[in-house]
Amino acid sequence: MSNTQFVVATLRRVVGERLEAQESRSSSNLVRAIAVLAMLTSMSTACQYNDLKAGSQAASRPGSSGTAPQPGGGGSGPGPGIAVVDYQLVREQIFVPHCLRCHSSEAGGVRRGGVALNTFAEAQPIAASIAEQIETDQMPLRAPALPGDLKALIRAWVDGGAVEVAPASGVRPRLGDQSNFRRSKDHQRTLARMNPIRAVIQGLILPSVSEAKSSLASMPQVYELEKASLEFLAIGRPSFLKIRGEGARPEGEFSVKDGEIQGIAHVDLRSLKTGIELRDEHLHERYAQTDKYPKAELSFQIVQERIGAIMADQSVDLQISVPGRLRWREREHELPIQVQRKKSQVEVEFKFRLSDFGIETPQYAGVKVADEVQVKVLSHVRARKLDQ
Amino acid sequence: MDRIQIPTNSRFEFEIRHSWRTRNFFEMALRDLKGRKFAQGLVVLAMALPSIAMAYPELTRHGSVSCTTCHLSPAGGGALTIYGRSMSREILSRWGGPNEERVLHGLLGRDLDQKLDDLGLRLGGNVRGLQSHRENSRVRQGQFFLMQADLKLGVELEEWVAYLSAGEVENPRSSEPRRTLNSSEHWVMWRPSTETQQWGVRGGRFPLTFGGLQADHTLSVRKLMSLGLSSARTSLEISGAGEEQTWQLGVSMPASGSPRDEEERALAARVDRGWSKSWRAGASLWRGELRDGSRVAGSFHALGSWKEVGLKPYLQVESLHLLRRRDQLADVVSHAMLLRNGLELTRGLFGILQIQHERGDVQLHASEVNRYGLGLQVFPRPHFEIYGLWHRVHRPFASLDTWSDEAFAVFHYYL
Repeated sequence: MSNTQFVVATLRRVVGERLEAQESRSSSNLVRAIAVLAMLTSMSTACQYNDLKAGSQAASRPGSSGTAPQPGGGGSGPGPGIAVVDYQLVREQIFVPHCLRCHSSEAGGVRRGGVALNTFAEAQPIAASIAEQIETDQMPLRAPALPGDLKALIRAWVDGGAVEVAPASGVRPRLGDQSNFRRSKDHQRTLARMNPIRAVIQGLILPSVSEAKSSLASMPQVYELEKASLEFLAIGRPSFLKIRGEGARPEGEFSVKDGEIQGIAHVDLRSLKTGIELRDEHLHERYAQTDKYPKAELSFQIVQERIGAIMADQSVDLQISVPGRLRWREREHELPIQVQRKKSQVEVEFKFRLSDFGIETPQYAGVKVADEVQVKVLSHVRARKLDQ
Repeated sequence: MDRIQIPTNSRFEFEIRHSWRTRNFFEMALRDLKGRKFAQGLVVLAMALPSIAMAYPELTRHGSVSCTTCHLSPAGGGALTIYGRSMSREILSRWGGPNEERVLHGLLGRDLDQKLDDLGLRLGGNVRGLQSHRENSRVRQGQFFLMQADLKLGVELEEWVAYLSAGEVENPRSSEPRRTLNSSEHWVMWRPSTETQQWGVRGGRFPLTFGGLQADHTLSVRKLMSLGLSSARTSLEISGAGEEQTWQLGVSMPASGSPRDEEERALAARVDRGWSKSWRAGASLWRGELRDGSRVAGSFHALGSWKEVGLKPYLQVESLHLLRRRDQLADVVSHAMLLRNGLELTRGLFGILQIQHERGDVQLHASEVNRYGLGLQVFPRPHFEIYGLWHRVHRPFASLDTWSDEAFAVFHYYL
């Protein structure tokens, strides 16, 4: 499937869901495709009105009260089932990863421009200003602009009254599923007054792209390891001799679906080399016994909101610690794994104990290897999208 | 045409076309300014600077952080540990049979060897001979002499190490009587270990540790610092080694009845640290005072990198700066720099390309010497090493013989 086909299919799916939500559940794929084309055509011919219509349409989705909320939280409040964005969500998704580095009131933090966003009390009074600066890409300063869904998220927070905690009746939205964010007509009118073209972009196209992205995030995707390499570092005592091994090429993949990543990698240890023939011989025959146990398996699972979108967006660097599982020599042990992603390169790092896998302490000519061994897997990842 | 009989027990003699020793402007100037000893130091520096930190690229690449991986001494050199002896076959030598790396090529037999190991006894010894060659339009000179012949005995018992070295060190230019079977080194060290550090406290007679990437006791550095041929002194040193860095701090003083050129008190410190997988940097400081009141202070800096690809290239940049102060003479600042590039052509065979620059006196143009060298280092089998280096030498401010050739080959056998 080409990229174009994939985008069309994704759009079709997004719009299809929208049509379904509008009680068009019986519509055929053909009708959906026509609807997509019609929508795209109308966007290009009468975008100003379509923008508002699109916003209105979003506001009148099933599950929405259809009542525009009053800015500042003075309205009738959200109805049952309506998602309300609260401070905690905004803090977690926007302030912490993108803002607190420069706007923190914590000890040792930086408080640029006298602005801090650590607490609700600090952020709430300037909520509208924050949203506007983020929407117009003035912030974050000297960093990539935030993606459309995050812009929509902070706007939804401001429009929803910039509340600290969502009312019990409200539904805390999942990020990436911004179709549930309430968008006020006032806001859209303001946008339209500012710049019709930008209003169209912000009001219609961005949400669509964002929805497509969120749809992408929710679609199962598979990433394959590419040009992967494994290396280990063991320390020989007492002189702290560094014993490095490399040469093994792990194979594996991880799948992303909704807010979850599941990864698994297999490595054939028989190709490991440490740079000294005799040591390799001892490693393979006496200690690791790679003839008998040639393969090790590493698996891990990450459950985190927006993880799909993060994986799809290679401009975002990722560094997390997740629980993993190493299976080797008919034994299995849980261990923490550090995962770091920079662009398409992924680095997985963990430590294990030789004794946990029944390996006697390697020693040779007075040099004894420490029980803890550090392992690093370096790989590029290539997305393999599933046909749907 | 003059013929000069080279003193001491030279095995070869070359024809010398002119007595360059008395006519070379450069050397005369140096003698006038700084005295014979210093000029000699520079000549020897030229010969031996390439051997600075010899172990750095080969052994650091194989994971050695501290010299104690392969040697009993935290400053390297001398008797080998069992592991070091084994690595001489596994890493350094081109060829080698089973047990060939053992003492006396394994002639003691495996059982006796094992007993010695179990008792903690480490036997060793070195024989080094050097053939030098120097040639320009006025002189063609060469000499072979025995640099070193000694026996070494170490004992490792838990956290304690005792060490004794006895033998001969010969200075071909010295008129002093040869010293045979003297004990050049003897010391005791206590070296406890923790999870992150191996400590060492050493006392006895040994050279203070000085050098950039690895401890460096080469003749060049010692002579440049106006030390005697043997730089071992009564010393006390503390040292440490961790996963990334090693360091030493020591003081030395002359023992009673020391030869005049060993009447020196000194303080030395050095540290080196590795980062990433293939970079290492080091620095060292020295401050010494001779009984005649002259003082010497020096610093040594080094940076090295290597790559585990293809011919495993490595690169070293080193610099040595020295300040000498002698009564009634102005301070003299010297410096030497070395850029060394090497390749492991195959196991046991290293090609070397290097550029050296030095000024015995930074304010004196005539003291500038630049060397462009090609070398080869071969470890054919355990116990044997041959190291040869040829330099094209340029003295840009010399009135005669701005270009000359210098070469040497070292033949080394270790027990």
